[in-house]
Amino acid sequence: VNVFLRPNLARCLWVTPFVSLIFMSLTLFIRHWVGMTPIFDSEQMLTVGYIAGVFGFLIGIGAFDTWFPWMMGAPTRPEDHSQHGAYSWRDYFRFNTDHKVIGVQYVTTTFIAFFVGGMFAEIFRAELAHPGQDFITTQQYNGFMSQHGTLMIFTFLVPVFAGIGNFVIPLMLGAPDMAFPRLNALSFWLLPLALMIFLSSFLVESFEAGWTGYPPFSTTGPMGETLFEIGIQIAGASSIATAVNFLVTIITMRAPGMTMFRMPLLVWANLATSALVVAATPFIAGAQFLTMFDRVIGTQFFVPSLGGDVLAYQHVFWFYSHPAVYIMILPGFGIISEVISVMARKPIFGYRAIAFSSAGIAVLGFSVWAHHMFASGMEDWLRVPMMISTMLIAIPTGIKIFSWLGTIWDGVLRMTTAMLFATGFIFTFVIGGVTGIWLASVPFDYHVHDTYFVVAHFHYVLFGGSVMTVFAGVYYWYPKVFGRMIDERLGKLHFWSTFIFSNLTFFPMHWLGLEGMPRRVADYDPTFEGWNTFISISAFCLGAGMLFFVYNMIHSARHGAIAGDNPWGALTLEWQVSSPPPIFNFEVPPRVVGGPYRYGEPGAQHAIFPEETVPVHEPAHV
Amino acid sequence: VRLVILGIVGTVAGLLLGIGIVAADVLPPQASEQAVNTDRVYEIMVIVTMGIFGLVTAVLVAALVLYRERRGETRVAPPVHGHHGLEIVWTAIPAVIVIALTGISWKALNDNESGKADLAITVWGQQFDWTYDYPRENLQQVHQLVVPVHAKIDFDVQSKDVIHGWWVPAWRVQINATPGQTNKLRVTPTEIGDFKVVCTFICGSGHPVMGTGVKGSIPQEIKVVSAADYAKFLADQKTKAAAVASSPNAAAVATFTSAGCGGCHTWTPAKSNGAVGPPLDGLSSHPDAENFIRQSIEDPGAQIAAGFPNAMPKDFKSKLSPDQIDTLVKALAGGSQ
Repeated sequence: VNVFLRPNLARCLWVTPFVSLIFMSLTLFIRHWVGMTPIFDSEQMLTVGYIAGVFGFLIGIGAFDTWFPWMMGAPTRPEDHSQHGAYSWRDYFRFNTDHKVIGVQYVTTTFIAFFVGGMFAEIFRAELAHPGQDFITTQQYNGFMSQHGTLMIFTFLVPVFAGIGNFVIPLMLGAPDMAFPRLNALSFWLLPLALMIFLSSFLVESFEAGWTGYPPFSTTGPMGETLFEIGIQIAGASSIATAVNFLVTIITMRAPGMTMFRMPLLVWANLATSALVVAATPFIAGAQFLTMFDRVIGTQFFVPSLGGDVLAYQHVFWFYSHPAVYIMILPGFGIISEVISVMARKPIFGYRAIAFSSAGIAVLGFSVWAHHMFASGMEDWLRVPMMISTMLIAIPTGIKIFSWLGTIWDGVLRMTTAMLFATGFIFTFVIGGVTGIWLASVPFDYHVHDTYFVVAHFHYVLFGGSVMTVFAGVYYWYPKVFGRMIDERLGKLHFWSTFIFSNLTFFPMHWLGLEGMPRRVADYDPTFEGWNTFISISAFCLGAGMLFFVYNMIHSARHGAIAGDNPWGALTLEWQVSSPPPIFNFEVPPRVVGGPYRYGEPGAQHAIFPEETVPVHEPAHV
Repeated sequence: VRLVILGIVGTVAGLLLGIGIVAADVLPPQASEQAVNTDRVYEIMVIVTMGIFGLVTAVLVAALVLYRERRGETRVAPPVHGHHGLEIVWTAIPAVIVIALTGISWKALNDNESGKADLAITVWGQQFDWTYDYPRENLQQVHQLVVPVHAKIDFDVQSKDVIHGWWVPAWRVQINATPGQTNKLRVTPTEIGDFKVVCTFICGSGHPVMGTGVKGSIPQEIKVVSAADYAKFLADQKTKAAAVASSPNAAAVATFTSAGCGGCHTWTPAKSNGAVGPPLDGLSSHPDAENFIRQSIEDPGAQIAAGFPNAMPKDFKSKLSPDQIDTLVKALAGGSQ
């Protein structure tokens, strides 16, 4: 069959604009038919064209090639694995149902978003190095700043953990794949679309209202704002579908003997996170639909002069976006638990406390959202309950920190790159946690709300926290994914440059905020110049240090030392199969016989393979 | 035992670090009763939480030094899975600490907002300017806030367009100006002097210039004065208001001021001196002044004056009535001078 007819990116090239144009013409026709003038409305065309285009792309890539015939009653094969597995590099650019391929697709895509978002930060840090307007206008600054936050949150930190979990969790559970492989592939392919939608807003006029998109600035702002709202829907749909998949996989597809309390802590973390995603994400979808309707079809949800309520948006938005903070850190906690226990050669200290604290955070996480709104003019009485719950959520987080310290104490610490990131994470995350407690205090928040102090705080928890855990996870599972070891020397250079320059970049922001510098400004009082120059230079060094990472990742995939099945001597199931794992993970289903962290007990096993002792080796990657 | 000694040393080091941070005193001058209460909470929080930070860091660093695997080492870690006593301690102690911090914060919040106000002032945020109404004195759209020292003041903060954030760092308070509602903020200034006002909420391309000291912003320092000077200020403002009301440009100046034009433009009849956009005093010399001015108000992006950003809000055509625009165009073109 012709390449433009088979399910692949080439077919997307024509199906996407084709479906877009059909629906745009239909809109024109309807507007003409009902007598609306003018016939052409650019906001509506953009919205219809983009949403139709998303479906066009999914049709082109082949997301519906099985579902459409099945819905039409055509015969289907119950065990159809034709889309499963990667036999050449081309298979990574296809609609692939193999969770291992999807994991690699996810992590690669999210890292592209990470580097693009990082470049935007470098651009506006260059502008901020000196007061006055140097390179970019205030509007361009607002655009880059908004894109930076949006890409980092919605196309990097939220989905990157879905990517790591995708590769690792079915293996950890002893399952052949995720519960719904086709849904899994669909979730992934929505993600590059969301990224493209956000970035394409530069072609009209980038959204400017930050990643929070508060109306009325977002409802009256440039057209890019509509694309922001559509992009969030796409990224959100991807997120929900993956979370449903994780929930069902974790609940139903555990190997025999894998009781809840024998699950590795990353699985617990993903379970809690997925529950959060499923419950919370519809709220941001709702918030973005309402702002989009205000822009595109003339509703008045957030038009105060017509009875709209501006504050309502903030409540709905943060009802997702605060739990989202935990969506971006709980899986990271899981990664840290894995890495620290394996690298300290010691059982995780207080397994159940860590597992239950994840669940506790997931529940409490829903009761703290309005601490983002202390200065918004919301109901006065809400402030104190929100302060109490915010303070309390520090307790389960503290339990985890102390448990990790208990794990490394008296261990035999192997200071690999993954372990360096894990321990470095503890240091930086505690700083972010401490300032989080300060910010929970309403009177103090009245001073530093929406200032650089807040910028410092959330970069400590998101960069010093989440990003450090992502790197720990990538260095830890890299040998499993590619079958080769990374260059530890380069890895350590990457760690030290990241650790030192992230602190030099983000720490001085605390002072700026306390002294009086607001956030999201393209220009500032010249008295703040000294620290701003220092921060910009540190940010450039932080960015340059990422080159060690990129080079290492690419170079080691071909030239690294052969890893073998289990280079770290870990007990969890993903390390008991070949590297890369066989195409259906386990030739012989494993039987779980004990906890996953029984290090230091001679001869202890987490799982056995009942009939054969060694699974058949069959690499999935070339 | 080693762990206990280490813990104590780390905690003490952290507490000292916290005291050091407090002593470094990076906060702006303390110019209100609210600032005194809030700073006390800040100082206690810094010292206590730095103690926890010191403890964690000390244990972390010590473990990395003491227990890192040496070459050829065959030591096996003890298979310890937990310790209930320890886990209860490190749940209970942080719980007590955060509950205590909540208590002192709650008290400070109540103290900051207690008592009956002596004075109410309305704060208006708009793109990209602050104006103030003194309802009791029947004074509107004053450009520079002047308040008497030691008065309990209720600020009623409102917005004419999008969300802004009204922050006076020396007073340690801020609140958003949210369209469609009035947000209250209580301040009791204790120091006489000039203080910065800053916009904390992104509101458009002029967001930075809504902060005192930023290049291109209008000088809008808040002045806290003695009761006598305050009375003098009110008298002056009333004289000025009367003078403006009787001038031929009165209607245009009123529109100019209420629409916030003065935030960005200099125009002598309105006594504005904004510098974000081009000055408007010499417009009568434009060959096609009326049409040019009308276009610049209704479609500001059509012609951009060299050296200025395309930053003017594009919705004045819908925000102002045709009459208001006509009046403005005539006055700016010099028709009524």
